Amino acid sequence: MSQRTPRRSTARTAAVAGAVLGALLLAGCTSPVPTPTVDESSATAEPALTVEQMAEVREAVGSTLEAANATNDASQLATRLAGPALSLRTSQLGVAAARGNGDLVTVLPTAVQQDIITTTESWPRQAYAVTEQPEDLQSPRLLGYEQTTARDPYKLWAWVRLFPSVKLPSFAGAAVGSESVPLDDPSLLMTPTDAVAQYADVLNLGAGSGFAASFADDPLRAWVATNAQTQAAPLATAAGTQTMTFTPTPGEARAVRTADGGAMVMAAMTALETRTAEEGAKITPGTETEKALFGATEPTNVLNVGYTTMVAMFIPPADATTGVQVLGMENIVTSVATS
Amino acid sequence: MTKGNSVLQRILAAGLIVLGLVGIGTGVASATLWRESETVVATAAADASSPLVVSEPGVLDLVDGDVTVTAKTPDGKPVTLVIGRDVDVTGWVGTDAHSDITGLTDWETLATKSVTTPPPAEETPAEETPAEGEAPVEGDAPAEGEAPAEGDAAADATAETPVVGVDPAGSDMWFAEASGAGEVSLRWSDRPGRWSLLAAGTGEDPASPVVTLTWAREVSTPWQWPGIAGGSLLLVAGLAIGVLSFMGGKKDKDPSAGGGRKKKSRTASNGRTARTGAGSEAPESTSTAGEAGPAAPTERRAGAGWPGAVPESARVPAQEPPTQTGATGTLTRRELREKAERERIEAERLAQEDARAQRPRNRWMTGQIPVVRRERNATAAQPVVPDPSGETDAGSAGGSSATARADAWRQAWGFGQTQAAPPAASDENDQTQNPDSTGGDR
Repeated sequence: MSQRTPRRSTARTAAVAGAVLGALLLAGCTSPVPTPTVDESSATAEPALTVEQMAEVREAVGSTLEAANATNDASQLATRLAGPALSLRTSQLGVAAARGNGDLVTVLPTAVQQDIITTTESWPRQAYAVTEQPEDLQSPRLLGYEQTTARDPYKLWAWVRLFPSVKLPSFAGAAVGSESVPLDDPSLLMTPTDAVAQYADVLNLGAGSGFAASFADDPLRAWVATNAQTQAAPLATAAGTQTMTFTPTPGEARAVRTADGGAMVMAAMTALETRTAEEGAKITPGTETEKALFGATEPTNVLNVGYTTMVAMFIPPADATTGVQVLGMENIVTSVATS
Repeated sequence: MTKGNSVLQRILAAGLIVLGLVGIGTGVASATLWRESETVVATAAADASSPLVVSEPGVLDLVDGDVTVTAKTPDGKPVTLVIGRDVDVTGWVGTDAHSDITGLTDWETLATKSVTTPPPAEETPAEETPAEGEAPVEGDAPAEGEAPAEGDAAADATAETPVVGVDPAGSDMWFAEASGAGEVSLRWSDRPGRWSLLAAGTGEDPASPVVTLTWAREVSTPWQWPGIAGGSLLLVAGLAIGVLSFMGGKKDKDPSAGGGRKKKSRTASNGRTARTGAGSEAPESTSTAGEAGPAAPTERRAGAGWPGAVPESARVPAQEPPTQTGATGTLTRRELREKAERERIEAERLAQEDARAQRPRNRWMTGQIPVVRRERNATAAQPVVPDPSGETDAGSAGGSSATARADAWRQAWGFGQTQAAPPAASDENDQTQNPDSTGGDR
């Protein structure tokens, strides 16, 4: 019995040696080509921009604004501005050029407290930023950016001046990304579209609006009331009236999810203030801006003042007990005409 | 048989030495001659149908996380190279025709596939960027105005592409970009996520860029030291066996030089052969055959179990007591079986004795090359065994002893076919068993 063992092990040794040799030769000649392996991290949506990229976007927009300011040349704005922001800024620069004074051009700082970046993978994509206080200690701005198609840059789409002492809702961190919210999202106290429409109604009708209870008083409502009184007083002497109507601009609203499941909505509206007086009366523009926009037009008994208005509001989730909170607005005269 | 063993050992030694040298050589060559290149340079063939080249996610880090991407265009035409998230790249490319790098076909070539523009008629948002499933322009955007606008933009871009290559440079989405004329390159280190490159021939009449990916490759030589170590072991083993076999050969010669005893010891040796041959190697007997005269070879061959040897071995009944042969010849099958059974039992006893007798010697041999242990015992023992005892051993047991030994071996190793052996002449019995044992041996 012991005679076999050595032979066996010899045979085994030889076999192993052969196998090793074969493996060596094979390994020496070929190694397999790798195939792509993909990170399956796309299960959770990533923010469309990194914080660094977002900073570059802000810088690019900021330098475009700055260059346009410096030259009072609104034509270069279109590379980095779009929508209501573009039309408003264009108007502001025109006024500044006419008045020879850029003071009334809204300052839009590039330094930010917070970036809010959406995780949208398709287009258009949005991003938002809350700026620091400007140097003149005005309230911080909320900037809304949008990339319309993949081949477009991010453009400043809207901005609002946040109301003093307003408390912004909290958002997911910029590195995590916030969900973009559909305008008909049912998970909210009211859909973003409804919220904008109802707010416009509240602005138009004041306390008489059926939705007035849903919105707390805010500086824009207060301004509308004050302006009505201011304008109505002199007009009353000439049997005149003043009306102001806000209309949500179709397609110019964006919403983004807040950390508590609510949404922040930015929306553009147009407002038309009509001042009328008795036949034969002449209504001249009131402010320097209106005058600049009115130009040399002959005044009549009708003056139509058009505003471009941008608002931001927070809509809490459906089960919330609080109402919609308006966070900020920009409401600037962009046209003055007699008809 | 001692000589045969030493020849076997020398062959084994030579084989081991050769294997060892080959192993060492292979190990060294795997780290030098066959060592893979430190870089992998893979190029995608230009696809003239489109100035856009896109890589699928996972391609950039196919070989290594750090990659150098180069895009070349003929005639110094402008080219832009960017790297971005795959959704951004595919979104940027949209429905434009492009060539898609999908992986490696071999270590020098990138696999590509052409993606053509779908018919422009289908301009619904759903078709727009199929990769992203953006079909319903849901929510995040005001569905009203934006979706058509996007469609228009993409359509415009598509329409432009044949004339002017749209330059992806400057987009906010890219993580790395380079533009130039004729050739641009980028270094990229992999990071979490899905990354794609986009190379675009730009300007008027854009060229199709040729994309080359260069990775540094960590070249491991996993076979170097195993090859050298294993080869060295084989080599040393071979040398040791060789040395032992030479020494063994010398030892063997001394006693056999006794002349007069030679024949007897050989006879005894032959008797043993019938026994041990059942369990030990045989074909190496060539040299033995030369010296041992006619009887030995046949015996050896019988031991080797060549079927053709049957008649020859019949001529060598040297150890076969005739009586037994006759007796066996007249036995019935049943008697044969009974006899075989008796022999088997006897064989078992013998085998046990044998094993007992040999164990100390094996011990004594411990430390020597195990391969030759058994034979060395035999070799060492053989010359000193007095003739009578050898004769007795062969004579008393004779063929049955051989059979018994073979049986004992078979029994020990679990080959239970002894009983099934076809009945035949007793001396043939020996051979019929031997092939079995040989078969077991091989």
